[in-house]
Amino acid sequence: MNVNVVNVTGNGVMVVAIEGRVDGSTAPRFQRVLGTVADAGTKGLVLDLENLTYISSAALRVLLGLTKSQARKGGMLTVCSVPESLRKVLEVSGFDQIIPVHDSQAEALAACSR
Amino acid sequence: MVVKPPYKILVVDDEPDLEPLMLQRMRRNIRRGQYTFVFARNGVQALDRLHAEDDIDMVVSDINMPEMDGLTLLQQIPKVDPNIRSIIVSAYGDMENIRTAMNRGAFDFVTKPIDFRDLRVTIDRTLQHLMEWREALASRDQLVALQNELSVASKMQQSILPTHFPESAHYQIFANMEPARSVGGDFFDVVSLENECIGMTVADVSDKGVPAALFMMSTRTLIKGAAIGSGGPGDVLREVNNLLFEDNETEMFVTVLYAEYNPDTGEFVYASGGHDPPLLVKPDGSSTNLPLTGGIALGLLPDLEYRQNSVFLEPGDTIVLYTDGVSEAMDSTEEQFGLERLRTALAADPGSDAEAANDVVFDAVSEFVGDNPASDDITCLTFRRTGDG
Repeated sequence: MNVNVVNVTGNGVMVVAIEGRVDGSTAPRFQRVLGTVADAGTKGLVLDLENLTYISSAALRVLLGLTKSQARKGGMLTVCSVPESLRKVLEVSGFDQIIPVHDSQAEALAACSR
Repeated sequence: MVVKPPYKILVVDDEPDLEPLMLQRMRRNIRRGQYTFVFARNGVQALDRLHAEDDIDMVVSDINMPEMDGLTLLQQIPKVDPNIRSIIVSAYGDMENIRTAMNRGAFDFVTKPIDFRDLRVTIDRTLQHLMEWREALASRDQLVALQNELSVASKMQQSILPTHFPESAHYQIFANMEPARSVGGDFFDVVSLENECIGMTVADVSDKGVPAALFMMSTRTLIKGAAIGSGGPGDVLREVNNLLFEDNETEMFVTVLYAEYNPDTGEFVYASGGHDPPLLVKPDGSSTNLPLTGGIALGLLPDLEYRQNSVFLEPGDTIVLYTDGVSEAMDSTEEQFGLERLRTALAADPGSDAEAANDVVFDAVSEFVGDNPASDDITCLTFRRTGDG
């Protein structure tokens, strides 16, 4: 699993690309890294999942925690470029009703700036 | 526990002049808070001090002393604390004693007359080793604690699984859970309802360890409670979701597929809380993935409604409920088992009864993953409407 900050916009939205697998064994690290990133970002957090191959329920839990912590700060968490197989996971688990899912980074950034 | 400096060093020598000399030559290290020194005049006194003070990290000892010599002391130290490291001080060229000391567990040696710069280097190297040793011990202890916790969680998980399934002239039911090596959070349950109706649950808690196992147990109890006298699966999930949400501080959640079957009508009603929908397998092996009812995993948000869906089962029809441990089981190339392989396996052999169908699923997964260790629990429940009897 890799977490890379790929862009920080002028209005303080951070775009983070997540690659590889986030499963039970990598979820704690995922949480630490994203927690640090989220603390630094201000208005919003866009997670680009294009190269994410697998996400476990432990990782979904991390995303839920981030959604809540962002909301407390008046920001928001969105995900974008979700591969088909992961889209299915988000749909089945109902997480797509909690976390906004966008097709592209541009759409996600636009949603965060609203 | 990894101890921080200053390290406490016991110096054992029958030469009274050594004490002021040591304190004088090591004064910078003492002032910087790196070392503190305590002294003993022979092996017996040294052992007394070691017994009285449990914070001594290291011993620097002479060999020739009255009452108890340094080589005898070396043999006694591990009995007090096996994690103390010793440096022996010997006459230059006294290889025989140095060899004996090393064989008896001394970490290093310095020669007389003492070169204090050399002693400092030797002490530092010994302390470095000691720190690494203690860190290794600490991580081993953590690992043992973790394993203990996981084994408790695993026992809790096993303890809530039913070992008997209701027997009926109208249906067969069978379920199995193969735990991953590191405990996951799957469980299944079966509950007998009024009028010979039967409720069944397959669920997956989002975490592992004891907190997840407790969450699992309360989920199972709440479902049982809600199922009896409920208005159907959608109601059950709504009620359980609200109760789980109430005191869920941890963002833990559980995906649940809960279903009820009525043998009088043949109606099978199910609702999903973030869980994969059931698979319906016909007697000829053809199968349909039943529609998702769209509910969110339980424990996340309050006051959610859960839709339910129903199908009428024909005699011989089989319902397969499973967790993502089945659909996402991986082979060594990280390819996932997937729903299609599940359907193919059941098409080739729908199983002579519910238990046989269950075996077909587990065999297919096991053949697919090969030697690749399971990263998640694998759970499958099979339900079959039998001939009209």
